[in-house]
Amino acid sequence: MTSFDFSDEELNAVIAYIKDQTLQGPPATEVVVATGDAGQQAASQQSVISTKMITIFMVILLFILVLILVVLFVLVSVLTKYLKQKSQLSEEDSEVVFQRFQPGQFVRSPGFIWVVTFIFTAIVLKTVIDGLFNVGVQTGYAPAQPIAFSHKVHAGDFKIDCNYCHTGVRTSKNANIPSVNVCMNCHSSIVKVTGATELSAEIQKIYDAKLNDTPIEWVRVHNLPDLAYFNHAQHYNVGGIQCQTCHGPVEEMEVVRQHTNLTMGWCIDCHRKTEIRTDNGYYDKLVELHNSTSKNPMVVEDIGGLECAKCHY
Amino acid sequence: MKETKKQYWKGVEQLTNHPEFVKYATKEFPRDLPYKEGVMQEEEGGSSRRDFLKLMGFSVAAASLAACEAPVRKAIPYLVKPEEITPGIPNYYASTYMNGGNYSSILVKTREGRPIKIEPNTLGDITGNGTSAQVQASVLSLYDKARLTSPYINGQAVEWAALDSQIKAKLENIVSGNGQIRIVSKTLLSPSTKAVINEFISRYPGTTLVMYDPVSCYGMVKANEQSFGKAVIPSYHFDKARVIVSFGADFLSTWINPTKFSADFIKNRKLDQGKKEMSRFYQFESNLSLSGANADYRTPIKPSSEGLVVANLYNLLAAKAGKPGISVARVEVKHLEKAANDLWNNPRQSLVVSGSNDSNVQIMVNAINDLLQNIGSTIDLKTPVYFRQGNDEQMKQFVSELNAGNIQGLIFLNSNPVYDHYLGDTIKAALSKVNLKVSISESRDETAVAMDYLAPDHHYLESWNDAQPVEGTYSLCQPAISPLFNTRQAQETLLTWAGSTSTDYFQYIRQHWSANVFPTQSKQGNFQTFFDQSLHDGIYTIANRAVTLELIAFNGDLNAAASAISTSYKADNPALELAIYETIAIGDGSQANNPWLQETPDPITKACWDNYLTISQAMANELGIRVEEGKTSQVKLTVGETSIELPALVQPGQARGTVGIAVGYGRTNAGRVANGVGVNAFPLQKEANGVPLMSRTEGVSVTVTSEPAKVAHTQTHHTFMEREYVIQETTLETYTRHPESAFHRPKIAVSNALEKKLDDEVIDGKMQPREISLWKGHEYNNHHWTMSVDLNSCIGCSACSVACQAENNVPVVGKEEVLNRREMTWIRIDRYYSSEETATSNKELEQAAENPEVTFQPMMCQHCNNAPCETVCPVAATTHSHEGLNMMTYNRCIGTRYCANNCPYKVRRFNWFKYHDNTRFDENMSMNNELGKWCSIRT
Repeated sequence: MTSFDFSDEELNAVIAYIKDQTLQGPPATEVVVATGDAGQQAASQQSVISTKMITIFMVILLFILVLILVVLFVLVSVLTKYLKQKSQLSEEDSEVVFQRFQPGQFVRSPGFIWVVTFIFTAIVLKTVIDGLFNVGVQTGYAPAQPIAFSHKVHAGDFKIDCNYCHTGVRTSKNANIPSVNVCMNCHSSIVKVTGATELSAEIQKIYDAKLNDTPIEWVRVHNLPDLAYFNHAQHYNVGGIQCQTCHGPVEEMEVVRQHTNLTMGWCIDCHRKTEIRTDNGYYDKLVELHNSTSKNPMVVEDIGGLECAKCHY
Repeated sequence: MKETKKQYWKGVEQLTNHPEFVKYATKEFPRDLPYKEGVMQEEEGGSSRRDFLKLMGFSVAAASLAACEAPVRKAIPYLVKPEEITPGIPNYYASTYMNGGNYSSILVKTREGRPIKIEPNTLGDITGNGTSAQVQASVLSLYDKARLTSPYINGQAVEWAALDSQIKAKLENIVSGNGQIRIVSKTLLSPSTKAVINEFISRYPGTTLVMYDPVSCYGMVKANEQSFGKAVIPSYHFDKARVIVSFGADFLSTWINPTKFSADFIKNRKLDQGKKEMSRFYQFESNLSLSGANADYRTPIKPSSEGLVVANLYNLLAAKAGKPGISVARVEVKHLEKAANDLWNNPRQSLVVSGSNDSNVQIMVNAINDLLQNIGSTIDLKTPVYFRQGNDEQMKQFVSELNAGNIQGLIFLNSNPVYDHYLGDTIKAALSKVNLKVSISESRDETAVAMDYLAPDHHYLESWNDAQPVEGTYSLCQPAISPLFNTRQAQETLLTWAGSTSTDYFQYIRQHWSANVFPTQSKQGNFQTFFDQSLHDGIYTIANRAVTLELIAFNGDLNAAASAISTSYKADNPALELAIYETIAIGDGSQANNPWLQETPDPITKACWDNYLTISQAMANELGIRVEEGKTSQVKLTVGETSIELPALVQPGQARGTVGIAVGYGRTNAGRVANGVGVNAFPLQKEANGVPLMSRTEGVSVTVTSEPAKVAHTQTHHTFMEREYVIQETTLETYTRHPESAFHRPKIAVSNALEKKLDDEVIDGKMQPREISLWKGHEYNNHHWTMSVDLNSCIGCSACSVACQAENNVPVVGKEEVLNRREMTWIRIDRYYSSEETATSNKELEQAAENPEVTFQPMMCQHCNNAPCETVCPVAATTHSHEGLNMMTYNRCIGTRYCANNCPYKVRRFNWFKYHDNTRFDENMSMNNELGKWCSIRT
């Protein structure tokens, strides 16, 4: 370890600084930078506070309730004792006073049955509804592909730009899966996997496709229903959205899997939060108009990003 | 505007306030329609609440089951992606639409190699930068399953080699025996094709090319030869004409080059800054045509008097010019004198045309134009057009030779004379006398079924070709898709049979252009550059074409024409007459198997999926025919010895004593869509002096049969009752003097209390509805879209309607469903008649329907700011965009149809059935078969 030539004075100052800073907590500005979104930050701070408050409130409530319980128990035992001493009760009253707790009877009581049924039904309903909402949601779907193509190797290790193969992403609604001739741009000379001595069996499949004149039948990973319109170019070019925002860390995936759930709620959520990129001049007047009536930044929602027919028509 | 007493009516039903009409008028979807009949027969019984629950339970179960295993969807990229294709982005290729002599310079929109839409090519001006309904629909014909998929010999599918060797041997045989071979074709616009045929002829001497046009203009060519020494059809400049007089020429719809004529005609009808004049247009005709509907002055005349009316116009003008008149019977027709005055006041800036195929009438028309000095100004004989090259005399001679058994070899090149020639039956009967019978056409049509050999041609979107539509202009046709079937380009077929060294037609065109077209320019030094540029542009026009300037003088024999007219025309023929016409959508019937065209309502009658006999209201009263809600009577039309049965349709504006019938229907071998739709009217043409005339003046009779008939006409559907100001029109004079008075601004009544609060002027308790609204309105911070239609320019041609159908995958519903008022077109063209008063009695009705004015109004979604459809939707499936659009979220709709009920413009449509993927709607070619679906646009 490198030795530092600090004097005692300096060391004391460093320790004092650390102590001081620890007590102060992290400066607020740093947090803003970390999340990169002022609005979100404010909201999360607010929610942190409220969660704390709720916890404290709950603890106090619990304490009071336990206290009441204890007081009540003490009251009951005192009263029972008192009544025992008097022992001038009628039969009916003594039955009530000296009754014993019977678990069998309690379980068979209508109140208990009702509560249990209610809880059971609620759990079943919740499960069914959650299940129905997940119909067609394929988060984590990672089908085996005809060629064991690794995005980790290509996009991660070799840092090939997504655009190089998925050419349509800038111009078309489809990002496009590359055709064999794009693969061959590199693989006409790269024939072996690093460290191997022979032609890779997977790369051979590209050659076979070309030789047999049969295109490669990839399995679609991200399936939007036909009734939804999505345009890659709009999001990538105009919105400046990174591929990873929706597709996840593809550069780390050996087999591509669906990262997000691709539900309408997920789309809408992003449209509510995402600010419009206004550096292209196109929205200048609109921004001016927006700022004159609202304090919040202009998000996709403000230019019709939540309208049904934007995507369904 | 508001002072006018004009009544607007969509049909005689509305004019008479017929109870049936009134009953349906307020309903978008009449409840008591037989929706359980016909297509829905098997779903009788209705459904109960239990059924609903059962179904719902099943749906939930099915959905969850389906979710267990997501279907594996494949994504298959190109093996080698063509550089110019980006999936999801369309490509456009310049090409040429040719169907016989019908021509259009076009752009083909392709998606991943599939042509899906036709757009006009705006380079070059041969077709006025527009397209017609037929051109728009032609893309669907590419995917027609009725097309031949391979060559056939005697009904057996064979390989091309087998067909070629047999035909070559037979041709060889015929030539060695000095036999005669005929190639029968419609107008050929392609110079390269003609060169190919010449090569074929030189290989097989004894071969002759015979061209015909189903609707002939040969009389005009003959007249021009006699009058000016040029056997051509000239270019007409409707844009230079301030006064237009037309005798039965429907130049806005079907005559010669209607797309160009319409564009030119409208140029002179538009008002602009500083331009306060419009051309005046007189039409004299029997059937109410699209041109007649757009005319300023329309006079119904009988076909038997047409020649005399033209001759009388000549006399009127000759009198003004101080020239001797010609001796013909005098006829008095309305507006003729006015037309003569107008013409005389506009020399060199007027135009007289006639649709007649009688050369004597055309000579008379030439004389009139000569008198008005129009030759060389509005009529350009030095730039002839080649859209109609058919030669009736040659064709007639061919038929007689065929009948005499003098022809041994017969090749029908994309022609179907058995169906669309007036001598079709004679040709059909005589075919057995021919040894070698070949058809080179796309489908097994009426002529092809009688052939031994079928050598199917490519569709034009799969072909290379060139065209010379007009002198000095050439265009190229390039394939926009690989051939779908085992077909072969007709020219390559002919070259193969001719034993040519190279049968590659593309190379053939290149060579032809290199030798003939390339030398006409000096801009490009390199042929390849020139050809590439021409292919890119789709059209090439010779710059600064040298035109000799000497004046072409009229040199025809006027007196001979006059005496011929005197004998063949009568001033007052008491007999019933028949006028045959072409409709704008079906035309000559060659594209009849196209459901988009079948379902396009005729702009005038608004009827689709049929042809019918148009009769006047007076005749309907005589025969006791009532037309209501599509129900009419079947009538028997007897012409000479032929009789046919067809429905009758009351047509306001039909000349008294005439009936009309459209050609293009009655196909028997066109395919599933057109077979059995209507009756064939081509054989009804009359031959006079060797040319067919589109009218019959003798031996026509009509009797009512006991059978009821139904005509699917959309005219009374979607009617605005109590909304008289949907149509607003005014005269040019009023408009130029007081432009404001041309608009009717409806006012609303306000209460006295409200009156004091508002600033706007209140007259008689009424005010303009500017300040009061039921709605809060919307904020439009972003773009606010509008779509405007120049109603002054709309001639009602229906091209937009078909284009919309192609663009938006709008389903076709078929005749039965149109009768149920369920047509789906997003743009409809409303046609209104107008007359001065409402008619209550038959007599008044006859008067109103005698010759009404016609107004067209395209009607589509208006994207209202405060849209009534949006406020009533219970599930918010139709909502307002912040850019001002009324949006429709189809997957959210539950089908209450409240929106349709509340739409003041009646433009909301409801998919009553799943029209796509529904085998019960067979006519839905673009949706119900795998091939047809290629034509649909996926965005």
